[in-house]
Amino acid sequence: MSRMDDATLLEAAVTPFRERDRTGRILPSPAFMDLPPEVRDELATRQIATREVERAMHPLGWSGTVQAVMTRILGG
Amino acid sequence: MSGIDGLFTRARAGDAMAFAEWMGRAERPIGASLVRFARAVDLEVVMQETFLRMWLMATTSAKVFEGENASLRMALAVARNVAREELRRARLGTLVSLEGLEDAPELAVEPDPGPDPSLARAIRDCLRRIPDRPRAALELRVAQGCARSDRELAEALDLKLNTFLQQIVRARRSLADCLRGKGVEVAGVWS
Repeated sequence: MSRMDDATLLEAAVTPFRERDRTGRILPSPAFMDLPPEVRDELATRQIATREVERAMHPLGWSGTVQAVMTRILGG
Repeated sequence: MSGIDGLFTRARAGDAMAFAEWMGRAERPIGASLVRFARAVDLEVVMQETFLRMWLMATTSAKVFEGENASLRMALAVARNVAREELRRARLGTLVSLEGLEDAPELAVEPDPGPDPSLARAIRDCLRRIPDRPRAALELRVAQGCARSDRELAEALDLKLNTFLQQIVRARRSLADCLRGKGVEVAGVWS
């Protein structure tokens, strides 16, 4: 994979998708780990705004975070 | 009993849809309380883990919550503990300054009053105006991004990962321009 610029890296960390390890622990986004600390403040703001867009687009008004948790709960 | 605690009570009876609504009311205040950890830990991890623990608590614990917005106050405490656990892991391999994070005072937070229909309407209207390719990437991310990685979503659109992410960046900028034109500012969509 070619190296991502900061804007693309930031976008990669915004997704609600998170991998899990074998014990089920939710793992930090690899993109988050690559972001400089000063850019992580911006990530937090962008995640909040993105969840707002997701609520507007979801038929039940669920953000991506709520969708991810519900997928886990309903899927067992 | 407050509205948010009423939803949590229904969740205790196994009502998952009520729990989803509860999360919708708790998400913003919990997120706001965690901003101070943003440089050190991945807040999405903390949010999801907090909600899963609250679901477990709702469905397996007989613990009685007392006081107004008790379920939200419990969730804030759980979130703080999860963030501290993540901090301990982060300390192993980061150069981020963590000084003072754990001792910072708690913010006063209230439950979310619920969806803002005018904001949702403005966002939906602006989404329709985004050019086709960026919109397709954003819509797929929103519809399936909770369960599929960006790499999988990119492949579904026959795009490279970088191209997929750049399309979402374009969609975000287009959305920002449109919302600004409507006089709506949602910090973070747009930077």
